Amino acid sequence: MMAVCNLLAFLGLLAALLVVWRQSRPGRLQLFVAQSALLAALAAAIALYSGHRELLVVAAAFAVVKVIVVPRVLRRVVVGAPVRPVAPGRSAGLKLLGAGVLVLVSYVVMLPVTAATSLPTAGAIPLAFAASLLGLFVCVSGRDAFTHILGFLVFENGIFGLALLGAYGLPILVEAGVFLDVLVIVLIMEGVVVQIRREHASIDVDRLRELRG
Amino acid sequence: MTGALGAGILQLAVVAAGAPLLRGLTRTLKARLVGRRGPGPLQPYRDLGKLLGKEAVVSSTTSWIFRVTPYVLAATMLVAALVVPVVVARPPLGFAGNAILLMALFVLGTFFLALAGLDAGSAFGGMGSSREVAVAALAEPTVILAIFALAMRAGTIDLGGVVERLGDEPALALSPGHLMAFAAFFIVMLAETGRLPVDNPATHLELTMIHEAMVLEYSGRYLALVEWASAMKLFLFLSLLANLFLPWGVPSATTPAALGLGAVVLAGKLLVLAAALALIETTVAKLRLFRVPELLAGSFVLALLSVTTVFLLR
Repeated sequence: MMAVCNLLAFLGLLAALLVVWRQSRPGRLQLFVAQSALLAALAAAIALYSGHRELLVVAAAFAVVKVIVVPRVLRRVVVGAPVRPVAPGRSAGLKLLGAGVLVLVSYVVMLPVTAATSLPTAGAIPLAFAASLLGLFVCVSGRDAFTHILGFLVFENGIFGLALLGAYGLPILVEAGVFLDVLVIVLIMEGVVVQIRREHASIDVDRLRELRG
Repeated sequence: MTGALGAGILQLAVVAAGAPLLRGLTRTLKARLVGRRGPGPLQPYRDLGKLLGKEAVVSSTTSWIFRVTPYVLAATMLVAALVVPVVVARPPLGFAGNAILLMALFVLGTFFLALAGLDAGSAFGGMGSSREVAVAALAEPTVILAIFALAMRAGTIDLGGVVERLGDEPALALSPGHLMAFAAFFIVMLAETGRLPVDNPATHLELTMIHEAMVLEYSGRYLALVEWASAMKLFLFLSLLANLFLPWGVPSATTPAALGLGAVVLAGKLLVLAAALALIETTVAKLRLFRVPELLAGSFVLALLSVTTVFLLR
């Protein structure tokens, strides 16, 4: 059980790291889908192991929302967006180094937590926390609206993983509320982004300051 | 003693004879994955045989380095075959600290190959050498760090000791730090053996190639040796990966039965890794050269994290 949790959480973290590294938008969207699928599998595994049957429902709902619905909405944002020209001199090396520091920080911060719990999932808690920090990092360092949305979603995935690993999932009512929130947020953002693109012919944040008459 | 000697000879034979097969198998799997029939897995043997029968043409401007390099490459790989735990956990050169010797052997080969690429004075050779050196300089620290991360977890820097310790405690192999080291080592393996996201082993497209550019001037038996050595390097890296990160069924004893079991287990693991390699090579496009350092920086970060978590989780 410990091994399965570690493996799934680690692959989730790896997906988050790759989101930091990759530049192509469809590629990053696929990574997000992969991460969501891994988390759904993690939820199912924990449900089977701990006997919390309602977690299976949560896993299914999570899979529907994060693997099917949200990516479909985001794909509409990706497809219409003008392909960003390859930006020279904007290297991901520093970003990756920053991401490494964040993983380290999450280990240090979560040290007392992992020491205090005797759950078999304790070893993977820093990984989920690191994935959520990386999501926040993507959100903050992103240069366009799509990256902001994706960063937020990875952040949300990390928190879901943290709840799973730290407390075997939240009550089903809370989870349902969160899923609904995420869905609504993504739908609103999609509308906003499409509107921004119509106005500015770009979703680059730097260009939003330009006035259009 | 005879057991250890027999194990050493067996390892040499497995690496020397199995390396072209592994390479051919990867190529066949790759061809099947993209819907081609492709040559059979035995094709590299036929290629080597053909090259051995051909005349070797050597440019008159080259020095002795050009002629010595293929032998140095093959020799370093054969010595490395006695260091890496391939079919047995404790090969003849299984002393403490042999991980560093292994890296030195790999770098020695790379060093001579880079020199030979420059030696003929062609533009492509120089280009390939400069790229190879750049990649190697970024990849070597990660290899060392990843192996040190494992060594610190296992409490010994002897590769055989690491394999035995992990074989006793398979749960260690799925701890987050170990997985990070695995990811780092896998990425570096792709770079060191010239596989796809870093270098394309299947083309002669001059703008992208690294390894092929360096060996462009070689022909005949020299080329056969260089190709054989690079196949052995792939074999050694994959068996290192297999035995350090999937550390099950590597025998410590050197009885014939244990060695046979070890060989069968190794074949299974290598088959899985070769399939994974073929799958990656068909799904991933080659990176632009200026993004390769980013990839290697990422793998370095993973290896560094793996080392630091050892201290944090103590």
